[in-house]
Amino acid sequence: MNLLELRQVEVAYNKVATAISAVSIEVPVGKITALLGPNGAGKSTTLKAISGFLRGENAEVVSGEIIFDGKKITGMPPYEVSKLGISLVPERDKVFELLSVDENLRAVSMSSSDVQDAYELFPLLKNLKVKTAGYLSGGEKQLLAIAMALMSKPRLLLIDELSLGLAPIVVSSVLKELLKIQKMFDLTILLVDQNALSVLKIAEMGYIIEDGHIVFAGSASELLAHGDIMEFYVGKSDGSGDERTYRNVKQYRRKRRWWG
Amino acid sequence: MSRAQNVSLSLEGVSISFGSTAVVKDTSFDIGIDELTALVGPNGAGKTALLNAICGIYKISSGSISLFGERIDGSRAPEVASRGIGRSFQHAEIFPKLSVLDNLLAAEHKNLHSNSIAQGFYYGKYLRREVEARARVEQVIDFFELEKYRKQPAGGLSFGLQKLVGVARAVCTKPKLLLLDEPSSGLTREEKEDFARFLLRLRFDMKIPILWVEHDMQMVTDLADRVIALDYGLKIAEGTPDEIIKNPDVIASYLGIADTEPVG
Repeated sequence: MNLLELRQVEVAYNKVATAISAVSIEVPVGKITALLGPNGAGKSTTLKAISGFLRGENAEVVSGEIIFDGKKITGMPPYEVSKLGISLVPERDKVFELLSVDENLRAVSMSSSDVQDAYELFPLLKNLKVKTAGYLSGGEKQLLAIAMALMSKPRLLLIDELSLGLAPIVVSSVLKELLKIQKMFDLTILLVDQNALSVLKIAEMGYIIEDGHIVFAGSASELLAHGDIMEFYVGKSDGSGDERTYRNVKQYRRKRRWWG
Repeated sequence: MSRAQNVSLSLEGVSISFGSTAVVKDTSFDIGIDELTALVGPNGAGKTALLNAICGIYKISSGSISLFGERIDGSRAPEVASRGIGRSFQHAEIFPKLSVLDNLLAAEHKNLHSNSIAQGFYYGKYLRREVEARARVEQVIDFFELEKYRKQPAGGLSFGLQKLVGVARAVCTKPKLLLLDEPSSGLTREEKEDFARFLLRLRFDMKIPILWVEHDMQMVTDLADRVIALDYGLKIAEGTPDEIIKNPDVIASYLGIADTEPVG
């Protein structure tokens, strides 16, 4: 069963500039779905279309529909979308920088016991309780943002750029935390990230979006077995299985994309 | 030639503190005139603080920073920029309402050494200078393959592209030393490969020494000449990429065993 479904969604900025067109995505319940693609392809736009944050940027869904749990949510404002149980962890400005960790959590909580639950879930945050959020490191900030997103007890969690700017050791620990929480609450997650290899390890389904169009969809293992995806997103050329090095970028010739 | 003559930037015993909290402690290193040096370390290790200190945004509490043998610590940021340090930022920090072209022109105009009165009186000379500035900006746009976006407001670009514009803007100032703060975060593999190409050309063709903060260790090992690792404000290791990735301190604090261990 799909918790979220995008049907032929088209989004335009300022009513004219099309950002994504005919995007259809199915997010199965209780699973992690990954949305991958280059910069400017429309990944963040897709998440904003679902969560209702397009309004603030003078953009709107011009055609197609977004269905959450059988209900049409196309064009709904963010507060109503979040009431239905969808939470977004944005790419930037994800915490209140001037407030402490505790204040951040309290600002989005319904009751003080919720804040306690969050500390139990993320013991790391408990130690940082009084620290100003602006001074947290990248990984700590990301965990705080996830904890804040979980406060509204969402059924669907949207995460934009989970591993952006995080040290390698932190990326794996944040991914582990996320997987733990996903299993614990049986959460449905739609994940946007650039780190294709590590995300496809925890995701079940994956979509590739390029230039506003979904160009490939399949299970994570199908994606990992696909030569073109390995070529463009992981850096492994066909046949050899060896990773290309960045040093000889000038020497190799890229294959033509499969959708040319 | 001795190493001292080949040094572009030199830090000696640099400490930075915010109030009573020391974020960088007694750190020393040199960057050669033809070196691509990577600065790695966990989040919050003090990498960005160090870049901010080098370009005069933060004051250092002890130690010295010199560029080509001249002390630059104590100078304010605009002065450091005019001495030839160009810098890109972790969060892009471009002018969001200006087009990509105007963002770059704003940086290139740092090199216009005339005031508005002179521009009035020596209009012809100023005009030639303006034409040069525009030609140079076009070269940089070509270099970073930004033609497609030159007229677009920079704030509307995706984060990865905004950062690339930030790097291009730093290059427009004709720097003698480039500081890059996580330029490749938020890029896909393919885009990182393009960026690697730009980085190699900056290093080998334009011969600009670069101090480069980066989290993608594969990029670091493939491209950097030397690596400096920081943790909790202390330099824990310095050496070639191969030495660094085998260093037990770096593995424990930064790399982990993420690459070999499957997640979950």
